[in-house]
Amino acid sequence: MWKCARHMEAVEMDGEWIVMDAEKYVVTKLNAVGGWLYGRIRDGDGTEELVRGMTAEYGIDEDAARRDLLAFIDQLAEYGLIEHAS
Amino acid sequence: MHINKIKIGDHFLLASTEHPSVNDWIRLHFKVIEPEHWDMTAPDLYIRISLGYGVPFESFDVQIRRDGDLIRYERADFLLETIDSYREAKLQAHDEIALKHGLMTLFSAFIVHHGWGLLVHSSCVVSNERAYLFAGPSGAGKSTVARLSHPREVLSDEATLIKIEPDRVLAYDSPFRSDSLSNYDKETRRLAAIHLLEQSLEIERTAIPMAETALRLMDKIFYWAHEPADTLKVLAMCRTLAKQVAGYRLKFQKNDLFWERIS
Repeated sequence: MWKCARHMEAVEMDGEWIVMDAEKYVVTKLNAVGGWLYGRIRDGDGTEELVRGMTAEYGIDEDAARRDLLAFIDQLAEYGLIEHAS
Repeated sequence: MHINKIKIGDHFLLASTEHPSVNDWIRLHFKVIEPEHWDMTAPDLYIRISLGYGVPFESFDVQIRRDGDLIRYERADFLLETIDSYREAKLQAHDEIALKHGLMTLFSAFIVHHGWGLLVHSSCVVSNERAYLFAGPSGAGKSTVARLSHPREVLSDEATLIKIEPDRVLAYDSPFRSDSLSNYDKETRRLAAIHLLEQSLEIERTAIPMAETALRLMDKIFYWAHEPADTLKVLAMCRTLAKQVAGYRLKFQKNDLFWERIS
């Protein structure tokens, strides 16, 4: 389970997202998939809900969705945008 | 004691100083409202200015510390102390550069804190009654664009003062200039486009997505982050700005032919 990191604020513009660390004034731009994922994590979705959401949203099979999801989550965590909820 | 009521954007500042040279500097660079024209409007910001602080300019780095209701912006060549509503401040400066940068620091923090607008590192030029903003890294050509745009009106050559409202964005005659002085006879204009400059051998104007416009603007705001609540206001205002005003990448040569692509 993941959650958005503290002091983060995200805004969406024409399908692209900007996420800002309000403490460090660091800004990251996400593409459409990254933004969609960030928004769902912010809404509290767990891994299985995210996989189901990806298959429905992007028309890909569950294995591909899970693989892409883990890669995206790794990237979001690497940039400090999300963190473990526990 | 010298006291000047000055107008920046929609705001009135009451600046007091004991130094004749500071008084002269203020009267040269700002729109001063002479006492016979003072009305009952209370100033938005009171500032006391003195000289004799620190050493000449060393770097742009500002250290910010909060002590209760007081916020201190400290640089080698100035010390700015303000209450956290930014309604009252004290600026101690080494020289004119420090004075200018200290006042920009204060006024930028003031307009962000009150959600009025932003001070953007850019030039801004009027054409056909509309304002066009030109931003870019140091040396990209902001002030060159302003010079090449003659005889069009120049609202700013270094720091553009913009007011951001839900349904319009306005550019004001800016007192924070590098190569010019204003006579303050210029009207406020609606901002029509934002250009991110690249000097080139060709001329090309390409639209960029909203999110990229907002992102590219964020590091051009005169703003020193220290208060997350105010930092979020910068993000929200950049978003409102990018949603209303189209952004472009502008490759330009050192002549005024780029205007053919704009207007």
